[in-house]
Amino acid sequence: MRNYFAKSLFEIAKKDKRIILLSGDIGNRLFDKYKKKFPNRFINCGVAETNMVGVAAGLAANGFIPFIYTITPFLIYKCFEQIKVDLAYSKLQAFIVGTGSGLSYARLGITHHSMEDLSLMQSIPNMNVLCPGDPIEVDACMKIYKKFKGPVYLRLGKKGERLVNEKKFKLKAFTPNIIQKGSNVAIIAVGNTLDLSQDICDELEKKKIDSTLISLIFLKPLNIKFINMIFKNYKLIILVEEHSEIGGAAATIKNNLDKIKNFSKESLITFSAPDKFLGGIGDQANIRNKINLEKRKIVSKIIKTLK
Amino acid sequence: MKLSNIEFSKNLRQNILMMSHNSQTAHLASSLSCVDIVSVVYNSIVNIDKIKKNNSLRDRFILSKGHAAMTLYSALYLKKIISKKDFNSYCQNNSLFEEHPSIHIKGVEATTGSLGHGLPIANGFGLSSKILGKKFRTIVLMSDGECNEGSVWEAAMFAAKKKLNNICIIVDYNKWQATGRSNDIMQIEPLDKKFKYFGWDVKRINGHNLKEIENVLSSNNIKKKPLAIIADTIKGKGVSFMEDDNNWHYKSPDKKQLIHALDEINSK
Repeated sequence: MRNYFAKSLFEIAKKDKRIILLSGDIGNRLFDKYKKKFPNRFINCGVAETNMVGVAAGLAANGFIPFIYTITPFLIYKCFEQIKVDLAYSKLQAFIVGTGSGLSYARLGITHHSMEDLSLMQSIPNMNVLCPGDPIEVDACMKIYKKFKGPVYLRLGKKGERLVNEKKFKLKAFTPNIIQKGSNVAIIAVGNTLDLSQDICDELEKKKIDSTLISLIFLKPLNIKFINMIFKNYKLIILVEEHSEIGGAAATIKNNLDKIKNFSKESLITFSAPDKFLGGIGDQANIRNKINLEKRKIVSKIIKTLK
Repeated sequence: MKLSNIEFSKNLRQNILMMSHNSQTAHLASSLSCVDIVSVVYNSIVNIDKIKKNNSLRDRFILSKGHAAMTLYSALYLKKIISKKDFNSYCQNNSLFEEHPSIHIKGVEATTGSLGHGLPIANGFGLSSKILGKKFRTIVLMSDGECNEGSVWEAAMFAAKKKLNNICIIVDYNKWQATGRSNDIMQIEPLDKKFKYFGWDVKRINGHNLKEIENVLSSNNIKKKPLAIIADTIKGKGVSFMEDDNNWHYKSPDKKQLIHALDEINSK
């Protein structure tokens, strides 16, 4: 995802002089092309994230559109207050771009895990929260950067994620992306669980169960109309997220049940991470397996429920 | 007719004392220690017309020690940037004029109240000014207690490396923070040397000498460095029974104390 982010940023920066990139001393080589072309619009802010967010606020107040890029926990957790006070309260347009979200940097240890970021970012008024599911969706989100008022949290994974979308497409702001249409089950992927969600759909197909695959992308503001449509059309809805069960997408949907017309308890099953630190377990696949974010386990649960 | 800086300071102090008495809000002494600095900034340095028109070339003043909001509101009021009605709504229900300033108030450049936010934002202003080729400057008023915050030193390193000679900080060095002497709580000293070794041009002044403040703020910064002005001040300055008494960080004057304080300021 981060490579597509760099490429898309280069493209939009060519056309829009307001775009400015701030990096917390990461992205070695990633932005070489950008830096060469726009030396005045690249600022390495050093390993000093709270200052970086303040700098972004100062730039945004003067008409720039800053993209603040570093590893998710360093940006979201360390700078929560700067994001709230300096960016969101002022309703300044700035993109808070976290890389390595969820368990993308699993093996780097719990300092690099971000299983609470959606909870934090969603809770701030005026924030937009975007979770693209594959590199193509990152590109699609970047192309609609003008559509947002106030700050945007763009939750990226790592690099080299599988392309689930077949080709580049035009994303409609605040509308989730339906990738595959079926009739029995709807699988809603939140950000970087799109690959896993696609695997679940493929496995279901082998068992003659056709399913719909949705990449939610827009967690905040949540498109309630769309969610209602899903609950109306499917008797079983599965949501998969690499985030704590507290405050993530599953929690948000459950929090909005009073706005969902056709909700029944049996119609929604969510797969999130437990309220636990996930250190000492290993790579992303191993942690996912340990916390039941795993294809076979999810498919067997779906089949059991459908019976 | 424009008031002299001395008269402007007097008016600020009177307003602040009345606000504190009427609303019974804290931070009176912190508001008084920076009066003379704020007075010179608004009365002699920044272009008020440009602030009123929100002109993109206006000089920016950030009250990073947001707890001195009474001083800022008084200056904005005396300069007619905010209305009397707004000014009088201080700390009333349904008023934006709370104990710390909000960016949504006319003339307020940053939302402050949590310490350590002003200088990073000023860095963004300074960079904007350089990239856009607009010649505005940014002045940040900070407290000595604020220099406990890590973000101040992140921002100090940044400003020096980016050669932001269009920003200037003034540390209202009243030697107190909320619960005690600042240098007893954290190793503040040597504050001037700290900024110097962080790559800043440093000047030390008497923060109650209006001429000194005006001179240092109006001299052209020819060095390719940001400027840190360490202003030695007295907490509660202007009212003898409040001066250097940290109880007035929290206390507000009662009616008798208010009259006594106003009398003293009037007689000076």
